[in-house]
Amino acid sequence: MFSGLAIETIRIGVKSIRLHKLRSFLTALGIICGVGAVICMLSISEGASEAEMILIRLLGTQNVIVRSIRPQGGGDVAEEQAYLLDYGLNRTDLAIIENTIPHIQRVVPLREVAYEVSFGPKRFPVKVVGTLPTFFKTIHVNIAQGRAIQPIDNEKIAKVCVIGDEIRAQLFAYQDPIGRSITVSTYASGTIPFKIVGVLERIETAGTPPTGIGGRNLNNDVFIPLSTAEKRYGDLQYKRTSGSREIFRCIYSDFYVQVDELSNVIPVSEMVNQALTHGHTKSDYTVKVPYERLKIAENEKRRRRIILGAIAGISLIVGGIGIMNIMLATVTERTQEIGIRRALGAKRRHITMQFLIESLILSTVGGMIGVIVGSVGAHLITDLAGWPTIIHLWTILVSFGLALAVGLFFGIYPASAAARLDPIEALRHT
Amino acid sequence: MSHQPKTSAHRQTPIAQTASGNGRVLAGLADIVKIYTIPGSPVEIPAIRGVSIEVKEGEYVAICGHSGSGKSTLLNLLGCLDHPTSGRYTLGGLDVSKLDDNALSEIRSQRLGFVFQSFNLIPQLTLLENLEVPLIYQGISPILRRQRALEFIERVELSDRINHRPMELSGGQQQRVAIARAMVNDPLLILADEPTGNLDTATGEIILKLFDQLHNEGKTIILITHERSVAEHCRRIITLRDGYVIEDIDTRSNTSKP
Repeated sequence: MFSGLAIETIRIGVKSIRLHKLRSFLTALGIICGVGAVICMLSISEGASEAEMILIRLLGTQNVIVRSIRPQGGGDVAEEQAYLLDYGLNRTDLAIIENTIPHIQRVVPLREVAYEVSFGPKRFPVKVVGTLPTFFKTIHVNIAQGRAIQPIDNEKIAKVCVIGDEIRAQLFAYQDPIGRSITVSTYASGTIPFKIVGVLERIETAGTPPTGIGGRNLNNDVFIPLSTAEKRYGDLQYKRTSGSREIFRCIYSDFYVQVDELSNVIPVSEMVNQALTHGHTKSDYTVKVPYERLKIAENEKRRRRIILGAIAGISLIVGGIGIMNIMLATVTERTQEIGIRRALGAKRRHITMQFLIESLILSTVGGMIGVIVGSVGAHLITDLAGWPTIIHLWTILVSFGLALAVGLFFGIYPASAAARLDPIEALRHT
Repeated sequence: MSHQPKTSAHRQTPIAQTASGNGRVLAGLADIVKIYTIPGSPVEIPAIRGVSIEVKEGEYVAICGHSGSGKSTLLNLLGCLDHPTSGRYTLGGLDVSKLDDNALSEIRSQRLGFVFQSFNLIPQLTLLENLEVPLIYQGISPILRRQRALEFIERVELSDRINHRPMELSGGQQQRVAIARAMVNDPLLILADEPTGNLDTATGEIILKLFDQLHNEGKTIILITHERSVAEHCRRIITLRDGYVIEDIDTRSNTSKP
């Protein structure tokens, strides 16, 4: 019985809306714009956050990254005069971390040995990095083509390499790089060819430069076995910069320390920092905790989401006021009908439901169209402005839900005003 | 509150046997008083100053009076659209004078049929849909509703217009639909408020014939009018003035009640 009445009420609502097509459309337009704005705003916010999140996840939330940094100039004058800059992480540091700190699954050292590769006549600035086979697993990066560096490569001190996607694109635009050799030249070790065995998948970070947080642009790296890096290249490196040359010693550029559990990440990072302090007189290393960054980024994301969502939400409220306005007009216009229905046995709640359902229909239809408009709008933003946008399912559900809530909220007053009308007065109304 | 000549129940009994009444009291007003107050103002406007009437099953009653006599107020009270300030109103054996809004709606839906001066059909709805309105609030299934509506629209001979809107019909036709609507929920009592007021005499006559016919079928009808000629269709004429019943006569026997 109730469902029959509900269907009837919905039918009445649809009928009344169709009776005033333009008016209903204009009313729904407020909701359409509101929902569209919410979706666009949230999709921009999500798109921006997602880019950062990808970067952070790439570093691995369970990792602690220790990175060598060149001390700033004006430090040790004597050392600079000796033309030897000695800084960064060394073998002792690696041993300390591996042997004294608990909760560590593995430590992957990275050793930079050269900064340019060439293929035929083409040269390309890169970073040639020696590392262990476990590196790729630690940072959750997949191999797009070929294979990763294997333990056997390290054993055999093989001259093989895995290249980043940018290098593939620059040097091998129209050919398969697997099996070809690129040449790595350094002042001290001369020219060594490396056979390409694999290509990393492209690291898409949607907008922000991929070097952002970790300081590594994986798309621009050439990975070789760590043993090869150590045996083929000495500890001293020569680097020519414009007009001068420098000699420096930096054994490891990074340690990727993988921690067993997420809850141990922060304590481990503190322990690592403590352990390394003793061996380093100057601040020539830094400890980065992607997990910490993740939390900061998540907070930022939440704030951005709230701010943008609230701005868009205001337009939804304006849409709701539009609904209320029209519903009040409708109630006035249909006062006599209300009186007739009341005389014929409609209870107050029947009248309330009739008008409430009408505003709900307006906001539902407006919300549905708004979802479509918002989705199209987000795509246009990406296409025209080049901003990354992401529409999550929850974005759609939340904005649609908000539209319904607005329709309900702003529909209640006109509906109850209609129900409160005195049937005698209403009947007399013309 | 001063009580005017009281038409108490026992004195009415013999007369009620007239007409086609079978003697059972359908609607009983006892000492009904209705005073309108303006909120925030001490001014009181008495509309009904103490009315006692009994209407028996199958009666055909006209309530007459000039404007301001209280007949509209009385109709609102009889129609359960309003509460009396004091007094008792029983409809079909149920005291409805103290019922809340919800219960009164229920009573209107189940026991009453209204016919208005300005027809009061819902303009957006077709005739058939208009007839279904009272049934909707009774919670009758759509199929049964349609069936009932078709049946009653046939009785007022408008079956060929079921999908028309009220505005496409003449006043007389609209009023016939309104009468059908008042019948469709099979009410105990049909209340008609100046049903011919907006119609020309010839059309009004047709409408009144329809009421006569309903009366012959045993329906209980109360008709409010200020026209003597309309009232004369009825078997009993109650005349109001200034909120009092001043006359209550049986038109057949022409016996007047005190």
